[in-house]
Amino acid sequence: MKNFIVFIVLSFIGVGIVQAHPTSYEGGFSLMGEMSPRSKQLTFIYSPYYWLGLGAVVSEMRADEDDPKEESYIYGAQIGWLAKRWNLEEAQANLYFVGGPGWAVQKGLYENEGLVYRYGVQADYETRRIFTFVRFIEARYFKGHAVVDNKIDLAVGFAPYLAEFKELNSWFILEASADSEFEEVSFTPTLKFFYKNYLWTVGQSLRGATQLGFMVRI
Amino acid sequence: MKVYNLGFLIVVISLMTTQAFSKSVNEKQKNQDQAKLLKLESVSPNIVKKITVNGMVCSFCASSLEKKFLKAPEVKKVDIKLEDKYVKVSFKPGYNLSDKKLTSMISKSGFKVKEIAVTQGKLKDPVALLEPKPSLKKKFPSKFPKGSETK
Repeated sequence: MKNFIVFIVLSFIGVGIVQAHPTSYEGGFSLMGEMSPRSKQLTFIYSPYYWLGLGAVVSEMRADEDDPKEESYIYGAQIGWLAKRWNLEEAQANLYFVGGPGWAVQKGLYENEGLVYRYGVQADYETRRIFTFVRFIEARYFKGHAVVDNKIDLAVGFAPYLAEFKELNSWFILEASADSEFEEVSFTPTLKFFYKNYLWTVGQSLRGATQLGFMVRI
Repeated sequence: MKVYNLGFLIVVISLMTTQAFSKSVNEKQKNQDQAKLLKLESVSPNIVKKITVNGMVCSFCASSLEKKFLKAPEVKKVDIKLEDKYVKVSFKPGYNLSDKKLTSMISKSGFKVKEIAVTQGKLKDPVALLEPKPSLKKKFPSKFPKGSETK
């Protein structure tokens, strides 16, 4: 159970909204939010350069969605580094390294708190028609460097129609999440929309949990 | 004494005449410049550059390009076409940004320039040598870094 709680806690100190780039354009700000029965998260990122994202994340999670006593919180720094970008004629591919330190507070049966750090790698490949995404993140306590969690996210999607700039863009995406040993894999069909500099998502996992998300770039 | 007075009078008259002539020449030059500028604006109202960009597959990401260009005081309008992979930048009359500056702006947004073409306006028009309107430079002094130029 404790591992499960830690898994839930650390699953949400990643890079914010699902499949979002952890950097913006030079001088750009990003505000991201995500909400599900088990979590609420707000992430803020500033990019001094297009290849670097610096920011903060605040998360509130529940191990059991019906039990408010089993809440956990994360207050962390957010760092994203675009290590390599391939700007192709018909596609774009990215390789990011992500991570940052944070403070975790767990309440309830497995009450605990302490400094954590995480590190990971994220890659995506996107055309105007298809989208693929993979991310691995591992988190450890500063004290003892014990592995507290790791997680793999995969996503594939397609655009049912080709939208122009300033038109509503829509994507059908299937997400899969698991720990590194694939003990438990969850699938979430998701609809992703974006219009100008606004992005929002709505999805429902095969277990029935509804997930909502938004992102604004300023 | 009378000679001195006469000499002084001659000098004063000479100075006044020179000043009047100089003013007249300046006025004439100014009028000519304005006429050239008006002619240029009527014949070629503004320069438009079409920039073909690699990696521009997502409108959410491409919106950063629009924001970046619209912050530049020289730019009047930005059109982005994902299908044709280009950004079309229309400049205010009398203004332009060098290809080097445009490439830098796009690179700093995370994309790669494939090609830049002038689709409207003439960069080598003789009137292009006219001084820019100083009001914009006064209003946005920090917006005119190296590479920012007027036509």
